[in-house]
Amino acid sequence: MSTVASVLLFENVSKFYGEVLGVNRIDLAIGPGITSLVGPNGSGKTTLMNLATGLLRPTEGRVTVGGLSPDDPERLFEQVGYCTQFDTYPRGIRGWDFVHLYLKLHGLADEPARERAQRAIERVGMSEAASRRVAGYSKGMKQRIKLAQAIAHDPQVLLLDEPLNGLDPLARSEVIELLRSFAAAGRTIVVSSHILHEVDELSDRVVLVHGGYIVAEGAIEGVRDEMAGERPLAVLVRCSRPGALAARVFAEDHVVEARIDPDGRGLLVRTRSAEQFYLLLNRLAGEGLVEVEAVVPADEDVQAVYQYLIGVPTGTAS
Amino acid sequence: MLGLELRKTFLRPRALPVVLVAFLPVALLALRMLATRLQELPAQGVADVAQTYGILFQLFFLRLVVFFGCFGIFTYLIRGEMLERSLHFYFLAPLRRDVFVVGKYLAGVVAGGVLFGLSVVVQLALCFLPRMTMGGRAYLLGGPGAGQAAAYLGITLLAVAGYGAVFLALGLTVKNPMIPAALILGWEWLNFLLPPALKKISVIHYLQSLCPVPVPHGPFALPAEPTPAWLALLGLLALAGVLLVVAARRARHLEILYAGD
Repeated sequence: MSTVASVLLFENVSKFYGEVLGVNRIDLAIGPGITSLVGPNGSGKTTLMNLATGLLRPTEGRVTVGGLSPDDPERLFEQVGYCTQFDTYPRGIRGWDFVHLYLKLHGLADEPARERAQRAIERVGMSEAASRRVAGYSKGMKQRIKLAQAIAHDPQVLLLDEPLNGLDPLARSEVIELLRSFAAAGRTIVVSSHILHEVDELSDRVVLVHGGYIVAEGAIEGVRDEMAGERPLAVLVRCSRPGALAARVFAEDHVVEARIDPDGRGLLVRTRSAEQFYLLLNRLAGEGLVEVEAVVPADEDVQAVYQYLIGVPTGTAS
Repeated sequence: MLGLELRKTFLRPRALPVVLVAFLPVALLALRMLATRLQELPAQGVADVAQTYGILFQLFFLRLVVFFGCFGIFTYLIRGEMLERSLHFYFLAPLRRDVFVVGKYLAGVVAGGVLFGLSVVVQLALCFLPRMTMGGRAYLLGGPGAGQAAAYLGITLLAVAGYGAVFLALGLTVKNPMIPAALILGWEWLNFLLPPALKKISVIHYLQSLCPVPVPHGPFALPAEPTPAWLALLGLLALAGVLLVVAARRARHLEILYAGD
């Protein structure tokens, strides 16, 4: 695939859903490296990504990706891969076909499409499950197969909407590593998240979005460190034997709360050190104490974090 | 894309009603044949059978079976992707949206053409094969039978192309295509009562003009000159082309806003 200037540009972009504001007067330029769009659910992150890929049309303004308009999908998607938040797939499709057919839609002949699909599926660790139907995948597997599809054609610009959602700790660190390797190759990666801890781990730069406006943007280095110890991070672990896990994690100093989900199949943990918690969870899963189905960050109180970060109430237009 | 669409059209439970509708005339003809045998009624002559089949083809097969079959196939081609929330799979591919619409349409035409064409072949076999010793062979091989059979197949394909374009465009332009489809059905069904100028604004008028066996429409019908075959053919293709342009324009501005998002 050919190379383009990997820049995502929003020029005075607004999007309204009828009378409801999606995003308003967004001016934003994103260059190579990993940039995170951070904001609570409904803040406009997905709207920005959908506008960049032509799934939505701006009510006003202009969006370009690498100089290309989303109205030109033929050229745009040669350069862009998008891992959406949609967890729906063509009915009955298998993981392999989901990636392989997408490459065929890129006009690749069967053999090169097979090779690339194989490579992408291997990179996200889905080789064994690729022959199964996507409908039977866990949340984390669905995330990974979507990621495989997004990277399969080797795009210069990668848009990822909450890509770490539902991944277990091991897969999570593998995906982060994968994204870092993409960024190191000079590509542009945009990740949306409502979890500051993820963002801190991933990004070179953050764009804070709230209520359809960009509230702040800049480097995030050090911010999370300042906050460590002040604000525990909430993580929901869907697993077997949540009671046993609760008993084990509660012995750790950094865990401030461990609450079994009402359905008895998950554990909500609040920890002052996400890093230590994930390491512990990895170890416990490795020892066979629990079988981890998914790990979902459950930190909903992002607004408070914004206030801490930028020192102004959320919702203030920049 | 064509392969994916064909698999989706034929190899899924949702395809079953369309297949059943397509083979309804076959079931009726088989029942009729059985009843004739059981009651030991005298067999119809070949010319009478050709006339009876002409009526079945025009009044039942084209107007109802192909109509409803195409409704089932074509309104769902793109609308189905929206309902199943999988349309973004195509919209995130390096594929122009008008090419996507044409690809979907062609997949529908191939699927519908194969399905309804097969139904016509079986219908004709049920009508004429039992009469091979009673002039059927001469009718099919030496007489007009072979030409008529080919015409029925061609008309079926054109009907799929015409109604397919109508329903594809309808599926993309209105939220609930049932009511407009019911109005179109009424218009097509009552076409014989319309004055000649209005008759021409329909798919069935052109299809009838191509039919090899004319069918009486009763005392209330307003007669109109049949459109010449070449004009009927071009008219149908032009209509399908215009509707495809409408559908492609609509697709170009389509946004992914799945219900519940």
